[in-house]
Amino acid sequence: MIGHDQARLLASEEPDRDLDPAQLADLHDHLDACPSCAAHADRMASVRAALRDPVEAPPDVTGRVLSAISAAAAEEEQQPAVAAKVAVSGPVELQVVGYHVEKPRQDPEPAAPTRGTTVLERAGWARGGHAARRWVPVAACLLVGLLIGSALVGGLRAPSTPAAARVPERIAAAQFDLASLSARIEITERGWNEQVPERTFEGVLDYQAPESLALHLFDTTIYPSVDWLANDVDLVLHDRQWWARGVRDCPSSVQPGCTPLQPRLEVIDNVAPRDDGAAVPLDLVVPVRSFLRSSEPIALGTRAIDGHDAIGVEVSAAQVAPLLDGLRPAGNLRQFFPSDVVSLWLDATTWTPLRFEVRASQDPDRRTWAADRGYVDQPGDEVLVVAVRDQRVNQGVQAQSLQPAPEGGVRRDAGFAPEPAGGGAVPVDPTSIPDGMVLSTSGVVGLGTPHETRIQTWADGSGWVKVASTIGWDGTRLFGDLGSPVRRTTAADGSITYASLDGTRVAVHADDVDLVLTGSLDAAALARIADGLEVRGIAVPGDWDEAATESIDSATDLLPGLLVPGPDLGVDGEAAVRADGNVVTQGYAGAGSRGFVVVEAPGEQLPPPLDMAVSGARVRGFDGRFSAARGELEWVEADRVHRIRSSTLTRAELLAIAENMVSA
Amino acid sequence: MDDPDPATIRAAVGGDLGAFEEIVRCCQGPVWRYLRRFVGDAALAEDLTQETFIRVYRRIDTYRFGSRFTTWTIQIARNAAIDALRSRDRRERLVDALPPPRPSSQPGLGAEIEAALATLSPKLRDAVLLVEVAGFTYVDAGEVLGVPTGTVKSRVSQARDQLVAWFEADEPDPVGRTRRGVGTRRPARAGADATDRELRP
Repeated sequence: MIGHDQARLLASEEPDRDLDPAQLADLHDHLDACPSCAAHADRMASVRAALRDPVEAPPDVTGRVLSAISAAAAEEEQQPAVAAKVAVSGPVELQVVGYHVEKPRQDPEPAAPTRGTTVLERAGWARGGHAARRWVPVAACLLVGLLIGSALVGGLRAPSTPAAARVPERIAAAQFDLASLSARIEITERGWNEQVPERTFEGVLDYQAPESLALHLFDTTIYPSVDWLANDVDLVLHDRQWWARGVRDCPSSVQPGCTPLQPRLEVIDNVAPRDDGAAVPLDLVVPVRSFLRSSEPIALGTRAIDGHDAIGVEVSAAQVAPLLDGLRPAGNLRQFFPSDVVSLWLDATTWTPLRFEVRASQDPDRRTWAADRGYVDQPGDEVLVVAVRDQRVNQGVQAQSLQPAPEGGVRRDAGFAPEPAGGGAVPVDPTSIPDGMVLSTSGVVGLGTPHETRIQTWADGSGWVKVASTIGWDGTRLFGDLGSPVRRTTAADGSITYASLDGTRVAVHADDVDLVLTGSLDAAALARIADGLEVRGIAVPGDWDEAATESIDSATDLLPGLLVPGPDLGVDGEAAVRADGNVVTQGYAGAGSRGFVVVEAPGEQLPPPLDMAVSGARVRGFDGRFSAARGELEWVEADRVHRIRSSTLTRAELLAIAENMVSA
Repeated sequence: MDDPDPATIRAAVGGDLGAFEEIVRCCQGPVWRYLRRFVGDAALAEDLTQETFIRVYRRIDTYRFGSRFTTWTIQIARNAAIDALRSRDRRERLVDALPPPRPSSQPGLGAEIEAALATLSPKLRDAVLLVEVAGFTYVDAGEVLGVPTGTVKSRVSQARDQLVAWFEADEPDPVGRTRRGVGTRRPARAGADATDRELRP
């Protein structure tokens, strides 16, 4: 029997679920026998409840926040357009109203692109259909040829071979033939920290279709002192449980002081199939997402790797972000600049990654980016090498790798409950499901609640598609979070569907149900499944966010002469367009994770920049500016303020897009 | 509090103001509750909630997806509150007076808990607010406070005990002590001044 003091101490800790069963039993035995301690425990519960009591209803500050952001921009618009006054020639530095504005040197001399591809194509932009190849206007290449081209020149360049033809298409098809994968992984990471110039990791990757995956990485680095915490990583999804354990992300510049003493463990039980909040790095298995919407990548040739015939391609880090991010699901691995150059070697038969190397690009904005993060790499440095060893495909996995979560950590129950197929879910036309895919999971989340959601998934190998539906959706935007802007499509029968910018989510709003489709398929395949749903999509209510969705034609009615990316850009698919008043926003998706947004609005001056440092830029013959931190190129042309924004494209690429724009 | 959908965060990072609006709607309640307890003033908490999300907007491109968004947001809220208290401290030193956090005008346990919180030392109050009000784990709270997890546990435990003791102070308990009845207002003490002082750089 424990004493009064011990009981009160345990009573304090009980709410945090930090007690083991024996301690809990001791505590409850004591409380049953000690009215004083029981009263203390009750009082403790009351105090804790009072602490968490909302006191008063929280105010809604949404309008104030958005107004403050807009007001700041409007106020700044009243001030002189700093960048517009920057001289055109020569390096110039201005210090105006606290903003540091630097004008770069004039555009470099023209440089012809290599291999008959445009700069943007080489950077991963797809051309629509089988259109004949054309050149990005020379004006764009003046800048881009040196800035991007130099990053891609060199290395293992080799002529394209028949074996390396139709790479994106073959990767997309390969997912359906992969039922399991088991491999060892060796990682060498460089430039993360001045005191730790190189870190090494060894680990295992196990995948079992349709949805089980385990990634365990063990940090084998020899650190300068015990103050540095080993960056071991575990990520497991199996039997409807997802868990991840790793060191919290912590800036390199303040290492090792900011590293917590213990890794963080997060556990989700009864996780729904293909839950966005419990994602697993499927691109480490087959890099499907990294090559969605991709044009043919630069071929690096063929070679043998660990006994496999391998095909090499060269792509940007931004394009293969789903692959690179897969290595840091819970750990503290370094980041990569969007234009860093990735040499990716894939098994010539299974299209599974065998090796990839990342080199720091020559982009002029990269140095600042790296310094901000405490990285010590230089342009051209090899900053990551991942080697996949002993890869076994379709030969099963190591069961012990798919282990359940350890005790403790931050735990929550996602509430998914399997149920027989059909039960309440919207019927799907089986002929719309790609051949070979079979129903994989059927169930419900939030049964009996207002937000009850029915889920069905189909799978073939590692390929998958998911349909989630709910009734009584009370949101003010589409169910399934498509982001903004979206594309609206009206079928021949008048049924309306909405698609996310990258096409990986398709939503339907109907009279009595809301649905969202997601999957590892391309936008056309998802659209076919949406067409096969036994619901008729209608337009979203006027007060929903997506009600602002427009087409290029209707947006041009609002802003005559609207600038759009020219046909030579070769963006795949139509723009996602919205109009908020007379502000028109266009969104375009590129290869993998790449994409950009174009905003055009009436205006005669650029507002002062939101960042402390911006660079002057000459855009389409007009003075403008570029913010590296915001990934934003801005200029004023014909009484319109234009912005092109992207977190995955470089300054040179944004300039190339701008130069290539034409009136709709 | 639950994190916003990763896709929403990604959209906001990409400059989607609609997505950012969704983040504000999703997170403002928990942020305000935390700030309400931290500064003990509803109006100031409301202003700081606004300030927090403006800071979030300006810095969202620095958010690392390896960490919880809500943890990151509460850290920003805490920093905003510390800045505000420092600023208030500077202003009020001009009149040579630094009042403690003001108890709510509402009667009942809400007012009592604020008064009780004001008696805690800054370190204990900071720890218990992160864990109890913001819902941080000990590990997360330790990361924010820059102390080991065990220290956080110890501080939270001490804080809870002191809060319970505060309520028990005026009422006789079975061993003869007096216990303070719920609903009885206790004047805030100088401990709150210490809070602000410790938060100074």
